[in-house]
Amino acid sequence: MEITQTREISNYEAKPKLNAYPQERFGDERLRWETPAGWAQAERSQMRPVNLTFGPNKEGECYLAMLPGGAGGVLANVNRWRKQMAQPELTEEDLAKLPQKTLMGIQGVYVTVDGAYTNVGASEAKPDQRLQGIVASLGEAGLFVKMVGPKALVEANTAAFDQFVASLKLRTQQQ
Amino acid sequence: MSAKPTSPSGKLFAILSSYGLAITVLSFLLLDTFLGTISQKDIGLLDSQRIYFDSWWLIHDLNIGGTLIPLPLPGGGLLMVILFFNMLCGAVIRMRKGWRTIGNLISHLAILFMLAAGFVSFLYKTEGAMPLFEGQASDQYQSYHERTLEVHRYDASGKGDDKALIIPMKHFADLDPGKARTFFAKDLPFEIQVTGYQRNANIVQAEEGEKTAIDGYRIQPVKTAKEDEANVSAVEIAVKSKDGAEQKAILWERAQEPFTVKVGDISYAISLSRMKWKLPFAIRLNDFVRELHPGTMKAKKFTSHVTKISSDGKEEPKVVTMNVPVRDQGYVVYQASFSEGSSGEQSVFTVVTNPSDQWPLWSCVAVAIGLIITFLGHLVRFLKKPLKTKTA
Repeated sequence: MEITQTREISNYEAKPKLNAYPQERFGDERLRWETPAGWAQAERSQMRPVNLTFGPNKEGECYLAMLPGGAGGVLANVNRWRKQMAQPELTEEDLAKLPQKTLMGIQGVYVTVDGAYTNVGASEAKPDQRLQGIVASLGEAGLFVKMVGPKALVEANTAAFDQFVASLKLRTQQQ
Repeated sequence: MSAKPTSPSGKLFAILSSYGLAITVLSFLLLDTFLGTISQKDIGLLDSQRIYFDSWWLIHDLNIGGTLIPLPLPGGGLLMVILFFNMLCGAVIRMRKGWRTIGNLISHLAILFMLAAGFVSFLYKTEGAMPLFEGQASDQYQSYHERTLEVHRYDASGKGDDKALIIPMKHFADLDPGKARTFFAKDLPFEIQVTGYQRNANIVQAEEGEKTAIDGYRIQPVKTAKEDEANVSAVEIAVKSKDGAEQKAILWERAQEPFTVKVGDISYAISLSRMKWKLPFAIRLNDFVRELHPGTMKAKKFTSHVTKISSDGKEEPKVVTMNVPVRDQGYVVYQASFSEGSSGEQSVFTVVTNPSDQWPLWSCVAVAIGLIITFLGHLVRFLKKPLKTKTA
């Protein structure tokens, strides 16, 4: 059957969110966030409930991970990231000197590491990369936001990263 | 006494103009009105109206001692059409014309006009709600009952087209699970197959491995609410692109965002929603005032202080309160109700457009004039009659 009818769109009508996940569409989404302008949503997984990409060829990625077990605590996770960037590990004293940022209402450690990045499962390191992220813990659970990509691109997207982090919220009650 | 007609057209005219037909039609109308009114208790206003009054025929389940007996009846729509022609033939065409019958003629013509008003209203009336928070403006209202499937195209920059394609519910409301219909449009690079319409449904997470699951969810049918406004419909779609790829999705009236199909740089937002109509002006709610009966929480009066914004940008302050609507360009904006939520007070307006809006009023005035003429004629003739002298 041919669709022949149309309706005029009102200027007052709110623009819908395109490419929304089914969880967002059906109000089953406990996480709420705003995707910064120019960023795109990538496929999510259980490990990455929010997974975004940015850059002309989507070279940059930024995701939120929530681990119930905390994956060894804040220091272990910071050092895991540093290892991925081929940088030496930090001590507890070094960790205490790192700046802090709020992630979903929790104070976390703000990490910036430059180096050659080897992603999990990758065989080769990508040179001249920057990793920027927040590691926070809530009881035994760990909350992580990690942004990684070419150094200049990540630098240019620092404000967008802050905007994304500020927009992240956990809804406590189903609407 | 006039001779009985012998030709088929003459016989038909005699039947159409007969008192017998008028009495039969009015009796059935009375019966339909009675049964339809009683049925509202069980099936709600909308379904009762649709089954008993907007129909050509119907089957009423007569409950006699717990046994349901199906009773076929002519529907309100058919009876109104027959009544129109009965009145036209009997009370207008066949009626003797003259000064003595002018009042009757006016009254009957006015009733015909009222029936025509009902028909025009049935075809062209639109009615819907416009809820507004204080400070919010809108120039559209949405139907209480009519659902549509909507496809809105967005370009690579995210700018949407001025118009969206819509599929009215009459084209998919019959698609129970197992039935499907495919829709296409010349501007769409895909076809949309629609199936499994549920008038009232929830969307629930599917069990692992559930065959009917789409994106981890499934439609869970819910008992239809008597008041149709409370029903939340859902439907399944399969978007089939020209290269044979297929994407399935569940559309739900209460979904917070549409389902998006991307073809190249172009995005198509597909949603199931209430039919929306655009007004030629906008309304901005400036202040909503709710007066309560003293010592109670019962509302005495709702008043909305609004600004009417014309298409040329001209702003005009208006007050909409109970029984005092704002009228402009054939649209009437009534104060309907209000709601209170975390975002503040929301005033709910009912917007109606009906080309025959005032026709029943004019018709009633004309009926009254006709009756006054008829009664005055009778009175004058009575007074002119010489008094009979009483004989012992």
